[in-house]
Amino acid sequence: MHARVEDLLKLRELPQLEPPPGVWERVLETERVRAAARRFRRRALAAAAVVAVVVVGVSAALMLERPRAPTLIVARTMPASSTTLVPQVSASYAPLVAESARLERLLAGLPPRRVMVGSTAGTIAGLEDRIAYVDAQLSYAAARDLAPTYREALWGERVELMSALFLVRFGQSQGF
Amino acid sequence: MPKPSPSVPAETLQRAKRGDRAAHAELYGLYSVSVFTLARRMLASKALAEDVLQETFVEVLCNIDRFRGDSEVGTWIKRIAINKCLMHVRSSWVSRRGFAVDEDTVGDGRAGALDEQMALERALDCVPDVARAVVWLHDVEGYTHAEIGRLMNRTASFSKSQLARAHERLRTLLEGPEAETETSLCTPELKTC
Repeated sequence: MHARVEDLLKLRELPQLEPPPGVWERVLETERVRAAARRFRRRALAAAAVVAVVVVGVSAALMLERPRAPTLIVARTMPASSTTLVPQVSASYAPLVAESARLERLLAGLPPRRVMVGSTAGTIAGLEDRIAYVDAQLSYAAARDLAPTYREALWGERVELMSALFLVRFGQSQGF
Repeated sequence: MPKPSPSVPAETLQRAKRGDRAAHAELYGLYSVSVFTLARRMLASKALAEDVLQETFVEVLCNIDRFRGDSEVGTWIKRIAINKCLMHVRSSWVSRRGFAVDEDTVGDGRAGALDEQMALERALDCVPDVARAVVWLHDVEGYTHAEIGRLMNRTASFSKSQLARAHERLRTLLEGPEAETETSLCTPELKTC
């Protein structure tokens, strides 16, 4: 069953309809809001990309600088204050001692601290306080010749804190 | 034949691509009537047509700098509008809308008092949403069944069957028995498709 062709063709002859007023103004407003949202998303993505690049770069640097012979590096690079903590490096935690020394060297290579936001300064101060506390415990452990497992745990904690401190200081030196 | 879309001067298009607001306004002036008409006919709702007009030109403004000129600007804009309309047609809200036919297209209930255009417009509004969209795209915009099938994520056969049903419905509405009153023309069970 089909409608008469002439009836259907009249669909094309139906009059054009004028849109109501005010739509164009709404178009402009909506476009302005969405453009602002797009700009915000782009900036957020760019910032995230920069952070990702920095993290990857730092990780790569840490990987590349990993020493092949930890015990030798300990002897060569550990600051006096740290080496005195472990007059004889036990084989069980020697890699941790070496890693700690390497991180100290990396930290020393960073540019001097600049003016920074309060939250960053607070984070750095907190990390440094915790490292100082671990160092005090290591001194005590060395003086009392405490068990290697105890010292190993302390050195592990020191490495973690040093890594965190390096990342924060590096990010701060790059302007983040 | 459908009214041909007005062409946009190349200089206006270039200015629009550079973000010139005056050029954007010119585009709106050139195409807003055809987009609104298309949306109003496909959706049978002035409010929805207004939404489609707004969303279409927001998209045009957002993407005009990427328009490569593979087709006429008017064709590109109309395609955006058709996609917006089909999104409404597919939405459950429109399916459940029932018979919110705009007052401006409904006559006084006496067929003899309506001129042919009003009767046709009113009949078109009483055709189910999907079928009405198919009728408009096929009979007025000149799309093929294959193209309509692709636009609706369906087959060409689907488009053909919808068109046949719509034609049959239109024919009944326009030429049917006089017993078919205002109420019986738009009953909910006939609105489903």
